[in-house]
Amino acid sequence: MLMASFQKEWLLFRRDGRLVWLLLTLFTMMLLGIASSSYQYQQAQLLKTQTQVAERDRWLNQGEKNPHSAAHYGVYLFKPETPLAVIDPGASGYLGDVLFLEAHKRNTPVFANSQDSIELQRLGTLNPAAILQLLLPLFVILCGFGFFAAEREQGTLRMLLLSGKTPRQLFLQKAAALLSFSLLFLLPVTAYCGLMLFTNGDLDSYRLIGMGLLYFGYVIFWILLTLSWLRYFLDIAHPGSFHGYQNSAAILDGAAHFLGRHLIDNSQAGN
Amino acid sequence: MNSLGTMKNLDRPVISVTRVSKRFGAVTAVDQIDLTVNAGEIHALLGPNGAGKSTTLNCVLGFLHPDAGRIEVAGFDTVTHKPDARAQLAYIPEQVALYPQLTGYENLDYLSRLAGHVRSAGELTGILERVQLQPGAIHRRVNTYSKGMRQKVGIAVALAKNAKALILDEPTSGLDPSASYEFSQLIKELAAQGSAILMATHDLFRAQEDAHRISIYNSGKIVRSIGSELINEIDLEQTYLQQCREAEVC
Amino acid sequence: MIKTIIYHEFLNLYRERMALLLVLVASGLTLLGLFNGQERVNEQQRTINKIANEQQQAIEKARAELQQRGAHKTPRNWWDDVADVRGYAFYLMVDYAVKPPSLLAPLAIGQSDLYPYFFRMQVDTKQAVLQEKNTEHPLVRAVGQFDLCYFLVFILPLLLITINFNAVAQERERDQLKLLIVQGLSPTRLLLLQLATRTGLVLLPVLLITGLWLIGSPALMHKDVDIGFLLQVAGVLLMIGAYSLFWILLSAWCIAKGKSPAHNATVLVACWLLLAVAIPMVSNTLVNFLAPLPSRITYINDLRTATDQVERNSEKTLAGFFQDHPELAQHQASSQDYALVKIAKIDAIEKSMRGLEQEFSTQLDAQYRIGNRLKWLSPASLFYQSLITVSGNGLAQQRDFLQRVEAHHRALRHYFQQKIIAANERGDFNVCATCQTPVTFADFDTQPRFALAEHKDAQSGVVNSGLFLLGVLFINVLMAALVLMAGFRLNNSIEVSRQ
Repeated sequence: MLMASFQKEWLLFRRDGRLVWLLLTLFTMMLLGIASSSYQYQQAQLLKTQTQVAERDRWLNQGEKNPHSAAHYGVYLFKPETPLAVIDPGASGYLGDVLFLEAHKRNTPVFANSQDSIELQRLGTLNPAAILQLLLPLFVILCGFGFFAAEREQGTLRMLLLSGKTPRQLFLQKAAALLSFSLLFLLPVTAYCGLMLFTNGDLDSYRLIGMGLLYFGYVIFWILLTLSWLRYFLDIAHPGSFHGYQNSAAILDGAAHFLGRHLIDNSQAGN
Repeated sequence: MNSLGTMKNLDRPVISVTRVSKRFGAVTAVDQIDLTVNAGEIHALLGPNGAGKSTTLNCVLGFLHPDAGRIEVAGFDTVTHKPDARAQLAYIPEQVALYPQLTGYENLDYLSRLAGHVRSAGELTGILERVQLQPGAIHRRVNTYSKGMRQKVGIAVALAKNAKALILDEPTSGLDPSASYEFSQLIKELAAQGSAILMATHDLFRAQEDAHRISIYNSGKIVRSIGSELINEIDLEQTYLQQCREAEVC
Repeated sequence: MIKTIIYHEFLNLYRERMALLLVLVASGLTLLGLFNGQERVNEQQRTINKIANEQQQAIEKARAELQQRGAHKTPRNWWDDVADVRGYAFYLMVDYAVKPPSLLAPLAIGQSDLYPYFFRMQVDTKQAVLQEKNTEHPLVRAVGQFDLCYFLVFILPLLLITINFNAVAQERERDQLKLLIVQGLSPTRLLLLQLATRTGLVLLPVLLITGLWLIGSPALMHKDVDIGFLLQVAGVLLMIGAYSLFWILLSAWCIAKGKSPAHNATVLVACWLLLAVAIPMVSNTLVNFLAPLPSRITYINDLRTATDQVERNSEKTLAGFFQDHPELAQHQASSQDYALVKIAKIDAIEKSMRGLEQEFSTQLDAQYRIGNRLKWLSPASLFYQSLITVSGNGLAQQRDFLQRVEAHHRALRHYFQQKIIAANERGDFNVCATCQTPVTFADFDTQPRFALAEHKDAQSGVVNSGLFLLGVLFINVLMAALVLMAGFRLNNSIEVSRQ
């Protein structure tokens, strides 16, 4: 039963050329994002490790000098990144990468990447987090909208409701379909994380799980929001059938703030 | 019922459709149709869905251009002199859609201004009263109106425009019998004052009651045309079904 | 007729409570954006005033000290003595290079939260003097502050889409359009007037508030306004109008295809995301890929190595210095002085960093060139960059400022280099341990000072807004052609009724 309705949703999805194109575009953007983000991460990481070693060498081989001079000779530190920064660079582009430590003087970190780029870069670069946070909701809304609009235009919604399907079943079915399409986006990210988990010892698996859950929650949030908004369509087809979900929008609104804040906090913590 | 004899302008029909054809791709929606509506005449078009009634109306309204033939409204060609032809026309669809946030009065004011008639408040109220809109409803927003009330505003729009010809597309479908009766009384009154009325309908009873001429459509052709002299003589339902059966559509 | 339609449209919006809401939202956000921009400008202006004050006080204090110098019996350390050219040049000089906000700065915060707008000058390596300090919260920088520029580039199009997507389409969906057409109204005319009325409700408050604020804000900063500035403000308002026109034409084009309001909304929001989010994102990644900048980590590594080398071989460094400055070679005999060695070291470090710095600059130039081409892919990025440049907070102005600061720094070094060498020559630095060193510097008023270049900023702003207007005019003409083509389709699509 569930499988049959799922197949029907998939068919609806495939028939709508726009949605397929959108999915392909976003998917390609996602792959490009992961590729460019992880390439940059690898390069930066390599350079930081090498330079940190060189810096240690310089400190050890600075020769004899009076302690005050040595204290001011100081040490440069380079901000480490977790591999999760590939997925969500957060504010790291705006945070100084380099910190100079010296005696009785407090320096601020310097050389944020954003200072070495043209102003258009402020409009954002391709990275998985940007795609997940900004473009995925669009996809969910358009898909959800597409499903209901198609059924409404064809008048099949009323038929479905009259054929004994409860609104709850219908809601769950649509939500499941939306979720599965959205999860397509998370696939490349998940694959990347899996790869990292096995090859990179640095990866903090708790943080990874936390981040995964947050994104999952974020997707669910948008699905619920889309569907609860779409209840207006259902109300037209079957007045009063969706009252159980009427307050969901208000509850979800609060959830959005919570989620949004934590996604940012998480990326901050990671960087 | 037959008020033809009282009309002044008998020399020329208000609406004349001459050998009009309209094709959509391979489908011929209307095939060499001839029909006329004189001033003061109500001409009802009957026929199954897809028979070509709406296409005919849309051609008369200028929304469609015939592939062949010619349509004139008050002497104006609907293709070459579309604005002049439209100035003589009023249109009442199945659902008269008005601006829901405006009152009936404001809607009428706007629509008649669009047609180039600036009317005083008294005139507008007078027209709305004439179509028997309840006085309390005139200044209420249209989103509180029933369908019957909206159809009445539709007639008011036609009145305010001094339209010589009215095109009605299933105007009474979905109205309850008393609203439907009221509506057709208004239509008959308009006809009595000299308007030419072309009306597509499925309501055989109302057609027989109101119309001076009935044309039965099938597959894009008028298969039977019944003049006023015969309307009350025949069993319309049987005639209609017979026409359908012959064309193997019903 | 036109008046009737506009009045009626307004009445409709008013009854739907949209009119008031739109005016409120548009004005509220405009005010908020301008307020945030103005706050930053005021803050900068306060700091700059404080700096000017500090600089003036330092000059007066130095003069006072010079006068009381005779009273001192014990010799002072040279690094504490303003009248000693070494102490003054290396440590005590108070000389600032500032970039005052332009008169249009409240428009856009732009890059001004990324770079310093003032530097304290000293005779040291350029690398040490032009060190950028990060005091702004990185998250605020990353997310960006809500300034007028942000509102105009991103939110205004959304507002325009929100009000315009169902023009005509709603009438069409309600099956009202045929009735209107029979009454003599053409759909294209209705579309134009609806778009005009609705857009007016959003755009007029925005333009009015922005214009008044921009004209009024220099008065708050106690600056004079000339006709040139008024023209600049007019230019900004024209830019906003031209950018809005693009989005209106886009809406018109979408509506003219004759689909449902829901379809229009979806397509328009998708267009917004594409133009304002996706295209800039992809082109930025492309820019980074095509013209990658060297890493600052490498830079630090090189700087550190260069400094170490210079420190270790001070004699070689000095020899190199005189090789580069043969005109000073005659002074070589007395060269072992600390000050001269320091100057030579500064010179050597800067020299060894020049290659890498050049690379940064070349690559940034390349990014700028590529970015300047790619920004044409989306009116949003085009408008964004133009607004920032017009507001004087663009990268071009920042780089220009940095170049002038560097030039000033070079001038200062050259100036003090001469003074130090001359003093050394006279043996002013070699006095007995208990003697008072002679005055080697007293020209506090005549030393090189940093010159402001507001005029140039304004000029580049005018050039930029001119370019933008031309560019958007071109895009809009293209869009208008599309709309015209679609407009015929709109008339036709309504004419074909459903069967």
